[in-house]
Amino acid sequence: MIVVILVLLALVGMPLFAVIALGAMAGFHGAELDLALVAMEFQRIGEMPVLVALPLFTFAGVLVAHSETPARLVDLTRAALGWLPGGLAILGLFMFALMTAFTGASGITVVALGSLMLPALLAAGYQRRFALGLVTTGSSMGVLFAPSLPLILYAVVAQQVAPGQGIGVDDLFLAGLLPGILMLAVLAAYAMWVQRDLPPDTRPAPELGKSARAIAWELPLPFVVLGGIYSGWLLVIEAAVVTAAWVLITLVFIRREISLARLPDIVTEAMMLVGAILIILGMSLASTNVMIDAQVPQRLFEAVAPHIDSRIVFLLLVNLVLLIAGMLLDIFAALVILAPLIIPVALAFGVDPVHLGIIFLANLQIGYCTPPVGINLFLASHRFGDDILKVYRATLPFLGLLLIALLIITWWPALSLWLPGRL
Amino acid sequence: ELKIATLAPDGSSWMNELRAAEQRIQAQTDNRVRIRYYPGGVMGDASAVLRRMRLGQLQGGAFTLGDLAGVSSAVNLYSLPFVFESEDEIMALREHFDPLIKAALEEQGLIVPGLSLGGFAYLFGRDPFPAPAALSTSWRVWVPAGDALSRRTLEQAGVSPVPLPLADVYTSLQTGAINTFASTESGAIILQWHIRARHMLDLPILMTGGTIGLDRRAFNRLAEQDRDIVLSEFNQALVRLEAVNRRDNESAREALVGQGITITAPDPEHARTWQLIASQTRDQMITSGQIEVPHLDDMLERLEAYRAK
Amino acid sequence: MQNDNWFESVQRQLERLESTALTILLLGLVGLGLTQIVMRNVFGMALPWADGAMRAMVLWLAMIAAVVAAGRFRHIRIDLLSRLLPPKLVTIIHVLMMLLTAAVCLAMSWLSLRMAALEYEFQTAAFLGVQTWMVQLIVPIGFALMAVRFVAAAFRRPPVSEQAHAFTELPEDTRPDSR
Ligand code: NA
Ligand code: NA
Repeated sequence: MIVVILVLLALVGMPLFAVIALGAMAGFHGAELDLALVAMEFQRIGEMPVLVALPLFTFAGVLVAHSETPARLVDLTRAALGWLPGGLAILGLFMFALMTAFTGASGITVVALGSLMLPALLAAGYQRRFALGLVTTGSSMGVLFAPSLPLILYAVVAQQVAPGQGIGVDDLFLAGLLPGILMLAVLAAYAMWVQRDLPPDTRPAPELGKSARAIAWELPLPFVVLGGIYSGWLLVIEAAVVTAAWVLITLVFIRREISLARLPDIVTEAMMLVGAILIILGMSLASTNVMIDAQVPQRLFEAVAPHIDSRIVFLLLVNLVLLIAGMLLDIFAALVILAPLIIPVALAFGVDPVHLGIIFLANLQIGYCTPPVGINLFLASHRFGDDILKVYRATLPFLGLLLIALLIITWWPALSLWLPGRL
Repeated sequence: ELKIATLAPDGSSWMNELRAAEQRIQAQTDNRVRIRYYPGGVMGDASAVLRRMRLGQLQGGAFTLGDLAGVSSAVNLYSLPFVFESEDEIMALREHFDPLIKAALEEQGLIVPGLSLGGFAYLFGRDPFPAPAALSTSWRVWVPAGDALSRRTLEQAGVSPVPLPLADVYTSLQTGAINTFASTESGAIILQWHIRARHMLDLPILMTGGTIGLDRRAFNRLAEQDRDIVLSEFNQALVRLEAVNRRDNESAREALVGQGITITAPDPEHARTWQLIASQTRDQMITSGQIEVPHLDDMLERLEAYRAK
Repeated sequence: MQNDNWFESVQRQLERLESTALTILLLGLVGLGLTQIVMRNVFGMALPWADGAMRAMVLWLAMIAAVVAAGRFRHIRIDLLSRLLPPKLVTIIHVLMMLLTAAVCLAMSWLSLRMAALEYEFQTAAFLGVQTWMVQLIVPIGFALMAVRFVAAAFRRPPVSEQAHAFTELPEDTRPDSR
């Protein structure tokens, strides 16, 4: 009954943090417990070390989106691989992934990079439908790569519901690498196949040396940060500090593309994202504690277990639930609401929590561009002025390929777990 | 119904003993007392558990003695730095002082069925431990947040004490914020801190211990005869755990040596210097009112008497 | 009219104050983090209190930013039905939802004030000389201010979103409704 009311409130536009807060309050009240427990749980967003990375990465991403860096990236892409059939598309995919991994928000990628990449693709002779599908789905790539915020957030939630499992952010960063590359590779292969007969781009491409020099300040950053994280030389928080400081110094002080006077507005812009995410996380810590207190995950497992006879059936069911959730909900909200419920049940089915995390995020990532309501579809339709139905059709082949990659990721735990087991 | 949280995961010796106690309590009270455990830290760390007990969500939790220092300073009695030289000394005094510690905690609203000693903590570090006089501030030693006495003692010894919550120790060893820590032999291995150490100083620093703390209000709601059953069963579980701890520490010591950690006995002169620094610091802090340790003089007297025997 | 101007100017001052606070906190976070990295790599040691301070700053950033977001309809929400229902009903629902959200914020403010009071009893240190309860005081303050903002929001029209998602993740100038 309460759940129905909450869903209704959410559907008519009540901010999700307030919906979750109401749920947590109702839960503690129903268990005859002190409602101050909601506040006690909420405050823990100020006690989790890894959350320090959130504002830093987000600030860096928003600052980059406001600068000329995306344009410089597209120039470099054209200069480097414009001549190779499918090359522009392939390098474009990597740029999308990089951007989304660093900003944690695929919406920023569509807007900042997609709007520049689409004209470049069209000018190089790609069909509009293909280019549209590539930009829309490509922008969601990157959720599985360090230092993406959803990966960090999953680790935070998993540590709360299964503290004894030793689920580290670093493990997730390593685990996401190969599945992320698989998804990219599948789309890249498709791009090469579709564009195999395309004549090479004959327009004068920007000169490689020049466009590389133009982006010399920003280009080393991903290598330093990703190299630092994956080699263990930088802790996650330190990587976030380096990223924020680097972007701030190069764009504001060296390039002076963003004036100091604009900085407070951009900081505010970025922090509103962070505030919106953290306040939902704080409330969901409370609703999670309600469930732990009432031992809901154990009961859910006992209810579900007799009907599911294998781990793989369970995982397929999880995929289905997550695809729908990813389509309807913001990725962060979907994560903090569903992960506390699913993780304990999955553990009881013998699923590795790190593998589960990768499945989780791969699903939510695909949800960005799943018709009818994936967010990237609407953004693309709006930004590029194409009818939403045309965008649906354009993304379908890409979506089909991503679903195949998802099945491989689900069926083959070693793809996710091999790297963290070795390093 | 009693809801009790522990940091120990299901399947650990702590949880096994507690589940055994639960079975016996339920049987003996004809299911009048039911116990529900929240293992594995799902209810948060000790400070979170104490707050949840205050708010009535939990009725009990498993704690280390250090966790309870904020509840009553009497729990510090066995964990004063450099007071005891062997476990036998503590065992000889427990009959008298265990009840005093329990009474002090009960006065603050926490019912404690018994105490379970976890073994002495020793110093671990990357370099061999020199004479106390040769120590410098480049020795960055972890002290539990809130343990003012240990911090002052280390300061007097000339090293840099670094107060941190337990959860931060592992990363701080990685980042180099600390390079020295104190732990029991088994604790160092369980928490994986030993990876960052090459030397252990075989000088007992302070006694660690753990216990079950029950909320007094909740406990008093139980029927009179049930209370005795709960106390006695939990106490027996704690006694059994102490034996387990002793065995674990012995095998952990062998494992540490096996992993290449050098265990060195201190020069007797150095040990006396440590004890002197510690007792002077303690006396200063007590005189100036920075800390209080109830029953301390009594305990030191009895310790002298035992040593004289 | 004059009243309106006065109100707007207060509003602008307040927004500038919030932006300044957020900027100082964020730059502080970057600065403290850089200091920490330099200390670790050059001097081989880190400031023991910096981690606690940075966590506290994140809580303050989150609460202040949440207050700002409340004033600009930037909290994450699903907005599915507003395109299916008649505009009049949408307006009524909007007013109700904002008032209900304000009530939730007021409740949170009261509950977190009680938690801060409980924390005051425990007297634990957060970092350096700062007590945990002082750090946590931003929570009741933040929720109280959010409640005010949501009441005000009840009587303003929300931006019309074109699809089922909140646009919290987009830079403002690229949001479809600011075309
Ligand atoms: Na997003
Ligand atoms: Na979504």
